Amino acid sequence: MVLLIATFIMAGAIRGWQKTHTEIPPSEITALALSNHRIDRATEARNRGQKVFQHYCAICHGQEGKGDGFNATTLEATMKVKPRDFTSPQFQQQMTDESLYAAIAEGGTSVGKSNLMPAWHKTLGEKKIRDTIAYLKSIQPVVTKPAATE
Amino acid sequence: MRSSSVIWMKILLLISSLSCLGYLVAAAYQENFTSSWRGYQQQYAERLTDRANAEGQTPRDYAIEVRQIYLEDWGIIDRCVICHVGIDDPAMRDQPLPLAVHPGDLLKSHPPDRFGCTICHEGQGRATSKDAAHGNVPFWTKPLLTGDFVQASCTKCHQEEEVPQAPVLSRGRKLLVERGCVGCHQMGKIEVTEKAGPRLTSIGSKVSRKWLVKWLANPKDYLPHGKMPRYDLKPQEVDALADFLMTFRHDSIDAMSEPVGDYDAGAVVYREGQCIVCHVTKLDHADKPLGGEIGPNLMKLGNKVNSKWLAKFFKNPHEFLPHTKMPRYHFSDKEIVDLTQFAMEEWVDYDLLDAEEIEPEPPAATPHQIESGKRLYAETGCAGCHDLTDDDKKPDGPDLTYIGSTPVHQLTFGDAPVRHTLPDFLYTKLKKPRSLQRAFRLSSTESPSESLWRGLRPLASFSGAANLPDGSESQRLKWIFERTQKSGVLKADLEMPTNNSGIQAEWLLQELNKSGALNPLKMPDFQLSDDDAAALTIAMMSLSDVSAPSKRFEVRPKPKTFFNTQDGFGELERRYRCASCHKIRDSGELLASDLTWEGSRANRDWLYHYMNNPYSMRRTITIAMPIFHFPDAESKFMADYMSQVFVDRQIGIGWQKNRDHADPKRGQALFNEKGCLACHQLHSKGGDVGPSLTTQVPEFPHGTWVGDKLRGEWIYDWLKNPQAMLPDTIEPNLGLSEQERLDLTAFLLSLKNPEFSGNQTPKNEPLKKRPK
Repeated sequence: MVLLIATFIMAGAIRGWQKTHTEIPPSEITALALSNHRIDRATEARNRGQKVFQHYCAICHGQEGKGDGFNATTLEATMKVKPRDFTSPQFQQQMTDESLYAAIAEGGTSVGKSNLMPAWHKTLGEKKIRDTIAYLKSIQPVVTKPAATE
Repeated sequence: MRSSSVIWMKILLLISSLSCLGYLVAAAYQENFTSSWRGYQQQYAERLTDRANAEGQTPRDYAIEVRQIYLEDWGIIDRCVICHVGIDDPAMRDQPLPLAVHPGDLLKSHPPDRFGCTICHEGQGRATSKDAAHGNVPFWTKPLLTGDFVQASCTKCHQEEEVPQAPVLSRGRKLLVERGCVGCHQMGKIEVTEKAGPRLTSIGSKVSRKWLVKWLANPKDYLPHGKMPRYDLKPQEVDALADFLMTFRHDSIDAMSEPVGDYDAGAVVYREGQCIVCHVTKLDHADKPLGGEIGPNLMKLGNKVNSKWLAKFFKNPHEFLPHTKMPRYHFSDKEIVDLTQFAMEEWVDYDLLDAEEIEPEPPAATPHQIESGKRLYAETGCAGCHDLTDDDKKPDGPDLTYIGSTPVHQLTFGDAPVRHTLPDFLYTKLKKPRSLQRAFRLSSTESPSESLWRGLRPLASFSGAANLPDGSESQRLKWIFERTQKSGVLKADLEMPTNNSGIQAEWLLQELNKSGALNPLKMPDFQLSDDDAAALTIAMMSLSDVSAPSKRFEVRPKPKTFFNTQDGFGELERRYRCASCHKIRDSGELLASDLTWEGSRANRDWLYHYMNNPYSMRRTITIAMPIFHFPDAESKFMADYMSQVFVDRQIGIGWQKNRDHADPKRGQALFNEKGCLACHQLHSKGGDVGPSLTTQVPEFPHGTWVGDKLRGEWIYDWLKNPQAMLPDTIEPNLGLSEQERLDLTAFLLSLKNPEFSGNQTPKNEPLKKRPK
């Protein structure tokens, strides 16, 4: 009977060892299927805002928000106005949530800028504008390296 | 037996009995009084109490008990809510699982009390502990689905093409048809509407044999984003197949004389035809391919086709490709010859051409080669994607109608280091089909040479071969080895060891397994991207044997409306394929404008003018509608038809009633105030996002202004809510009042080009080339 008990214990130990030592390879397809789902709400908001930006804003403000969109050259040439560059460090310093919201929702004139920036509150609604602001804040400013001192 | 050992035995028995009993009691207690779900419900009750206290209300009693959802129609009992208590409570938004609320807004259309959980998420609904409920237990065949995998369950009820909120699934199901999976595998409800590849019935008159050989060896060399997979054919097999295919010729093409035309005149035809809208035809300034991706990349066309075929194709593409999106232009015979000359000179890789010229001519095709090629065509399964002869047999790949319900233990994983789940199997099979093949093993009931020869016979190279010769085992193995080398299955520089037949057999088995010749797989490597393979995996997971229990749950696709295609307009649409660029009701594409209410949008005279003189709407864009050179009767008919049929009488009722109160001067002031010039060009100022209001593009001398083109009714409604007329437009809705809209409309209608003389504009002037 002792032998019987010993056999069972051995079998359990071997099974346990097998479970921890067999390499279960990572599943590529599971990683792909979950890639859009295990993200936090802030990232979700930024992703939604990026989609809004690409569709409505990028044509003037550029794919990366540098103010170099397809329409920017024409605007500069014929209207002497440049779309905002969201990556410039000066802008990143001076922008606030309220000023961004006012500019997007009520148009450029509400923050003392050109009327060529339209008012979007009726087209987008508050939620989409907030998401876009979240995205704009995530656009990294262009880092200018300090001059090397020798 | 000694009495002391008896006493010890009795004590041992008592101890083990008591401990067994104690263990059973502890287990029963744990299962019924301290199960994990009680803990979660306790936490939820605490949250409810906290919330009630915070809002100053009296906390309600929350009973800790077994909860379940019973769906009578489906015969489902879901006890998921026993742990996932807060699944439909919006206040549980920031809680960790399992208390967190369901993400997104799917529960609004699929409330838990009517749909439960396992219909979408699978798993074991009746279980009350986490691992069991999520199906992570042996022999449960439907594990929990999360992330994009959940979309695989939608087709239980949803039968639309584009299932809402299931983009990966919808894309995957489209790919199943586009990539030709349905051509070789039965997939139940997913039908083949047209085969994935073109007809090959006149391939011999279309391409050169040298091109065909290179294409069959590796299609992606010629067309990197093409659909055809690489079949890993041996050089001899490629030759045989090419010889077979080149026998399919088109008599009238062969009888034609070689077309010789004028390159420059052909260049004009090319510009007028706007081929670049659908085809890549050149590289841009950054050396990237420039052009549309609706039709194939044409940059190496001259290396592929012969000019006689091309000329016949230009005359009537629909003869060769009945379902193509390409229109049948009104080319004169001279224009066809000129265009062919231009194409064959312009769209050629000259390095490739030079390399081909120094290649030796292949030997003439023998009847044996052709017969071999015919067998190869049938065995490789080309008929799954291509039409050739009437008695093409559809290749019989495994039936995948219920692949989504296949239990894991019925799938063959071979020796591949892959997780044993259905999605992993499907994904690995799609990305690397051969990796899941089991290595061939010698049978113990026959001699090694008999075993190996049995394993090799299914190969196309051996299907007509003789039986094993008599002789010693070693001689027979040598014979097999020689045949495999001759047919190219094994490399010519390999040498078989000369030891005893046992070692020889082992060596031969190993080499043949490495080459993939034993247990051969007909499925080629499609070189799918990760995203495509993932979409296809989820689409195949949706092919299951579970469907809605009654019609109440089925979501039928809305029938797609077009227009009455039996009209005269339908005949013209079939010739010119308007729907390749224009949307009409639910059909067609939005590359160009939506024509659904074109009669309410544009003036009839303008439509007639534009048909004869298409132009670009934007200063910086040279792409426009092709110049079709419609006969006058046709353009008049189309203009009249659209003005009377593509109409919505509800548009612009306010404009008709109040147009007398509109002031264009106030409208002009509004135009300047609202910043319309950001996107619209007016004379020499303004942006280039929306259509220009005073079109003046150098290549198109007959541009018109907005007052000539649009109708007041439409402008009035558009300004009220652009997204209602065109959902994806980026024109902002500025919340204009009724009077403001009247004034703006009046102003815009006043912008008329003094040079536009309505329906008396000259037509058929050649398109000017933009000076560089």
